[in-house]
Amino acid sequence: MHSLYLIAHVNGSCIAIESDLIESIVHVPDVVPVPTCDRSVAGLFALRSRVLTLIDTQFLITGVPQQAKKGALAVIVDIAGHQYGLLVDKVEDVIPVAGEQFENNIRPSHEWERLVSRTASVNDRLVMILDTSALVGGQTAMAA
Amino acid sequence: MDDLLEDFIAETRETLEALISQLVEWERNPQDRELLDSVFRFVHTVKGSCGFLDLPRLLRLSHAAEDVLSSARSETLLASTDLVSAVLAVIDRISTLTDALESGDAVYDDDADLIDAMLAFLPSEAVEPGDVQSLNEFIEEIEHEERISKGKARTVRVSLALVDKLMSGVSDMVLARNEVSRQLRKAGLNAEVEHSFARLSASVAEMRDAVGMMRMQNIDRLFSSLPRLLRDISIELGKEIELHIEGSEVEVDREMVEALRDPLSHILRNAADHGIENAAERRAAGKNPVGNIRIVARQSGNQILIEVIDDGRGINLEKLGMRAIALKAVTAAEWSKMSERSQLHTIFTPGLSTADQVTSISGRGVGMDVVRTNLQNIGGTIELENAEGRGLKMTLRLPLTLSIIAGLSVRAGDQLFGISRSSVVEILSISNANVRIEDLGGMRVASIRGERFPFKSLESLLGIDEVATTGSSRTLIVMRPAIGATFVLDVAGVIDNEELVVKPGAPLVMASGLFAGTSLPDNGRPMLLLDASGLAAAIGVDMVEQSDQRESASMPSEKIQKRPSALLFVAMDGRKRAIRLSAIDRMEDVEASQIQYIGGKMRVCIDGALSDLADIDSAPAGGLVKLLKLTDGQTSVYLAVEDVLDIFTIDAEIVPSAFPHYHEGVIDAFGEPVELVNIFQYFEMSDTRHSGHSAPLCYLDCADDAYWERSILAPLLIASGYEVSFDSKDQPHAAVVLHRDDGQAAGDSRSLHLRDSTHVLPGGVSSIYRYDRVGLISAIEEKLAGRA
Repeated sequence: MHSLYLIAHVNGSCIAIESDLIESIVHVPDVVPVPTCDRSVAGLFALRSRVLTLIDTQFLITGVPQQAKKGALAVIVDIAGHQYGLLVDKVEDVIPVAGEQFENNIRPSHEWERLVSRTASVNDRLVMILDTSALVGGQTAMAA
Repeated sequence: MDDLLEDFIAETRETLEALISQLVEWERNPQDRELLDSVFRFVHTVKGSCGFLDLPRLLRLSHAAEDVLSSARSETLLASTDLVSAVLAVIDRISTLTDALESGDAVYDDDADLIDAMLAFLPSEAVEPGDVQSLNEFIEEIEHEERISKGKARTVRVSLALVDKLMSGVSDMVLARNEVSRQLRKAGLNAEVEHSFARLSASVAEMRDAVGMMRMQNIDRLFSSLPRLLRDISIELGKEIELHIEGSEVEVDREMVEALRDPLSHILRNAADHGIENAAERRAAGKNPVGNIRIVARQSGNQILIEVIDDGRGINLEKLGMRAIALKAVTAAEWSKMSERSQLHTIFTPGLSTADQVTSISGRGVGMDVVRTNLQNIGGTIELENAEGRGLKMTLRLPLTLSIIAGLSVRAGDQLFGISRSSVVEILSISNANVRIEDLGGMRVASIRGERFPFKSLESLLGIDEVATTGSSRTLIVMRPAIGATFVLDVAGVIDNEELVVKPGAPLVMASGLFAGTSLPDNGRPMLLLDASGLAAAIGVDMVEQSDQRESASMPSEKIQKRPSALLFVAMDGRKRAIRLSAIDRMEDVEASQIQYIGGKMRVCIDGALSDLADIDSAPAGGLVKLLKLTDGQTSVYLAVEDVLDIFTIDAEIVPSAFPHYHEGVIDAFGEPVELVNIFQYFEMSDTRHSGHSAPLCYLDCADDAYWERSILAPLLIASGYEVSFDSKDQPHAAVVLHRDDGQAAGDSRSLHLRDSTHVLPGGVSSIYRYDRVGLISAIEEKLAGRA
């Protein structure tokens, strides 16, 4: 069974996001910070008449907040009825990944473990498939 | 087939909603042919569709109901409570089955019992299923329906998803328009482009309003189920209660109707069960044995008010207090110190009920707290007005729509935040003389006109940096959240007053509890909406205690506010003066060109009417002039001022002035003495046209071509404030009759003679030289005074 995945780069690593969840890829306009909020939230931005939450994916991995600049690249996904923008360094391509490509024995590094559901080998390299719902759970679990 | 079935379900449900209240009405007026007709028409339609769609159970039920109703229509059967109950049971079953059709649930089949119960009312000879008569009925029915449907507005059914899509599409359009407007401004203006853009803007705005209307629904959809509910309750309780509904035409947001359904029926249930006494008790209290519950809906600004008024026993505060103390919600000492209002509000305590016994309808103590919570969830409030022994009035206040709030945008640091205006009590500058910031062991407290409130800056609450602003001082917002105590929020500035479309925020954003959602104002930058209750919690005031203290503390200050207030302004001569606020109708800014010296005094032309303008000597060269419109109830005059400063209460003594004509006296305003302007002076010279009294009528007895009377005397009299007539028909009721020369009609005490010579007429007839203006006017006044 083939599913389509978007290959993107986060903090220099190659990741994949299930394409069914993705609505679009945009350059974010002005980002409005959200005070007193979980630090994984980079802020709010407007996409047409909607207000979306921008997730600082790099912070979730490295613990270092990324400067969310106007024009940064974000993947728009719908998670549990809310729309989010996931900050990515760059996007590559949408490719099909078949069941036999999943690698069951290879676990990602400690930082990535919580955000990655599994890994797969695509075009002779390993990509981590993001568990999108873990991305919007905040960093509280990360601290442990 | 599926489409047909869906249509059938939707249509049946819709008609049912509208029908329920008519059934109850019918029970009260069994003779009302129209009500009976509409009930019959419903059952008949259901029957027709069921036959077509092959739904045997519904068919049997509707057919039986149709039989009974047609007998009632042919007057072989009279509607009674029992009959209506039986018909209602069948109609309820129809509704259950319709719901089951959609959900696919099974409904236990005891339809036969229901049908038998209903058919038992029929006179025996009429029980003949599918009798010949029904065909004629059917034809008659179709004709009838055609007659009725002509007047109705045509509607189409549209899915909600489509409406929502349209709504967000229009929002996009508005944002796109704003973007274009920004670009146009940047690129420089071209009159033609500007004109077309204005047209586009207008039609976009119109469209937004229209789409907004699509979400609106008649509140009758909410009210239509209430008569049935009350009927069922009153039968169960054995009480007779009348329900009056007013304002069914008020329109509310569709989601609001759903959100209000439960709270409203709960309130109604409580009113019928606890509020309304039984007939014997009511008679003993000298009341109409039939209880009365009124539900009134109306729109007031951007709020919907729903009042539920019963004429029952009201709330017994003593009993309520005992319950509350027994429940340990308050201590006896606390109770005795509480204001009546906060005592009343203990009925919202979970688990509290004043009912002596628990009934199946209410009295289990779950209820009013849930009602209030439900209302608060949709941004509403509930107020009680208790008249013990005479009834209770509950007022629900709701925002007009759930998705659009009247908001204020405020600045904190370098960011904007939205606040719902409904929780804002007052906005004042921190430099206002009525404000004092006190330090209480490190905690800051704002004291406004002697009332103390917890106080915090929005920046410190949100943990963002204050950005120092030069020139403007910070602003205080007194906020009263739906839950929690009043507090004062200190913000860098209040920016704007706008309608905000509320959008839900992601869970991560909402987690802090400080935000109520997000919004996208016209500038296209997302904005966070602050949650007043969340802020109150973050400030960390002990809510319950605090609110009681505040109320008891506010009692004396309310009395102070009853004292007269005055407006401090800078007069045109540059001096600060005060004027009583009660005399000011409003403030207006007018163009200098509207002001001119004409007809001997300064006047201002506003909306095409000339009014007197005081305290200004000459029209300024240009720009705007601030005016205060003063009124004495009948006449208005304008007072020009340099600037308006502040409002304060006249607390201290008024020191008498040396020129009482100009100043009532000298008072203290924010620590400095100012003159309190005497308002009287502005009205004594004002023009008398609008004084409201009819001018005394002077009849001029002269020939039709008398030049002097018509061209010289009449204008003088009119200018002096008299009415003038040359018509002899007016002579009998004229106040003064003026003659020239001769001494006829000397017997009339009203007559006044005018002579051509400066010398007194011979013969002792009293007369006045016709060019003696002062003498003439005073003679007329003497005549008027003598007559009075």
